[in-house]
Amino acid sequence: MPSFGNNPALTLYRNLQVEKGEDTDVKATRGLLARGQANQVRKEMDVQQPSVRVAKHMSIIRRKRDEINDRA
Amino acid sequence: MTELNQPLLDAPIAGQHMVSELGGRPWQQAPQYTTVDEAIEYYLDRMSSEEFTEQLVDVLEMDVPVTTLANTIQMAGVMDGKHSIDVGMLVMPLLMEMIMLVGDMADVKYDSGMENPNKGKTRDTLLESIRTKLQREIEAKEGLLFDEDELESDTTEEMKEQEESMEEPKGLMARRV
Repeated sequence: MPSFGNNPALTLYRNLQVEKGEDTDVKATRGLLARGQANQVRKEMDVQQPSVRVAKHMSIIRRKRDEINDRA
Repeated sequence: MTELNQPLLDAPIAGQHMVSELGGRPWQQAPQYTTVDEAIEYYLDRMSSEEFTEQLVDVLEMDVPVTTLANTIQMAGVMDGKHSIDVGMLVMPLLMEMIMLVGDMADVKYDSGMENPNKGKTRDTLLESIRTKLQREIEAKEGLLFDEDELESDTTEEMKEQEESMEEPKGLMARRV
């Protein structure tokens, strides 16, 4: 993969694109004492990994960008 | 503008690291934001300010690549002691995405920096390898035209012929070879 000099931004960006995957919707639990599925979902999404969390943030911003570009 | 052509005006002066005591610089202290989430929050807050956005749009209009901007912003964060280099590396793609969002919102034609600036250009190494190949071929052809063994045999034959053609001396006082 080309790095175009010594700037790692491009490589990091492309690598994170791979890790991004698909968005997972977290369903709301019904009550305060209901057995939460949040932990399970969190595990499935692997959000303990910082790069995955960044990727999730990125996907939100990317969606906004797509909306803007589609409108234009 | 390509990244390779950028002047390194902000490079440290040789020996600069020795002019202040250890821990005297912000990046030598413990970072302010230790997690990715804290760093993201810090950058999102900063980048959503009007002042920053306006400046960013101006810079994007100057055709500065997004990759360069993201790298510069995160490096400034490291230098200010906001976060570590590791966190900066993790946050960088998000910074790129944010910068591109600002560019899209302002309807600016920006350079994402993701296209290879050398695309379409012939590589120097390729040219050199072709030149070497051609050189070898020419040498091989020249070798065929003037083969050393052939040249040697030719010269010896010529010498023999010359010797044979030399007439023997006929006089009484002539020396015999």
